[in-house]
Amino acid sequence: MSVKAIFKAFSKKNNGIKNIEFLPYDPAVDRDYYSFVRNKRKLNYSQVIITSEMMISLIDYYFIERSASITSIELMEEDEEIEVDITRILSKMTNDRAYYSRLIELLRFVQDKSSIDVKKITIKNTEQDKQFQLYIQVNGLVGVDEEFYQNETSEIGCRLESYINL
Amino acid sequence: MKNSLIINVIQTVLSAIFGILILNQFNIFDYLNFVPSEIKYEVGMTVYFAIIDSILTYILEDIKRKYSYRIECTFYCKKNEPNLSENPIVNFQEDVTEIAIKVSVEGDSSQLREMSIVFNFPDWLTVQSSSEVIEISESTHSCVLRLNKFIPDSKKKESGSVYSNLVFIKDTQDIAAYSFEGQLNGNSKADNMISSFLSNRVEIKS
Repeated sequence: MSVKAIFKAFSKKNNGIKNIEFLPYDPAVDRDYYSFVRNKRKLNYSQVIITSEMMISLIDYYFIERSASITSIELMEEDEEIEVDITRILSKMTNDRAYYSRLIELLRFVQDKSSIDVKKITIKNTEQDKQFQLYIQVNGLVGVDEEFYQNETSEIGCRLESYINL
Repeated sequence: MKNSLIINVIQTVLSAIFGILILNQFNIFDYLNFVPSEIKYEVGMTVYFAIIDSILTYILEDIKRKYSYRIECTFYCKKNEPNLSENPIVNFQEDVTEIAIKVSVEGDSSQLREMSIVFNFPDWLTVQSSSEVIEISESTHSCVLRLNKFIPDSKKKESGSVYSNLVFIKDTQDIAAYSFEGQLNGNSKADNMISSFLSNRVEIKS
């Protein structure tokens, strides 16, 4: 279950509505990440920031609707106390899913201090026939097993679009 | 402060001019025998000046009440309290950064609803906001905060505040520091004499 492909979220306006598209980013090919971004900007794509609010919504989708496990949550600011709390809650959630509400409560507290404090989340999906690992970063990078990318980026994009089309 | 000083000076000069003009036409103290004749003009001048100054003050206050506004646009880091006298500095981390905005307004709703606050950005920056009061224009690299999004159409004096935020992601690795402030759209210079728009600055650094 290793991550094979990286995609980056971009938005593009079509008939007044912003659509999210995940474009493949291969560090081996696109050696300079910023050249890759600028090339997409020239094609009228805009970068998408995955805010903490969006991250919580994605955690909610994967944990509640897909019964996936949240394996890690990295924060932007180093706060040992909160990081320890998150790790403790995540580990308890593997046996007792009721701890999920504690996690969301903690993430809401983090979100109150900064809209972009959740740097990266890692998710492990254990559905039969759909076992994969996925990560989502604040800068719009998503890593997922290649065979599942189409479905997963479509599900993620769908949820993110509601936040960028207000 | 500067505007109110100018207005006070103009008001004093107008009071004196009108006072003299009216006094030269008609001095009521010429008909009051208990006022010594040698000081009738001086007494008339003092009283007419005071009356005209009071009338002008009343008219000006009425104009201010109806047409003046006060708008404050305060950028602040979400962890701190908004403070207009501070200019926050934010740094990119993982290519992203954010700034919170508090906009406080007071004034006639019809006038306020015509106004907006504009923020301009360089082309190497992509801006995103989860606020319903902010519109982002990627073609002009700017954001517009329209006051009609939170000021009701009551046709009377309104006051209120709105909190929102802007998140940024840089499109290039090496960036020069960039600073910006809110710019008010939809007011005239005449409005500025009795109104105020204040904004602090935010600096974005690599």
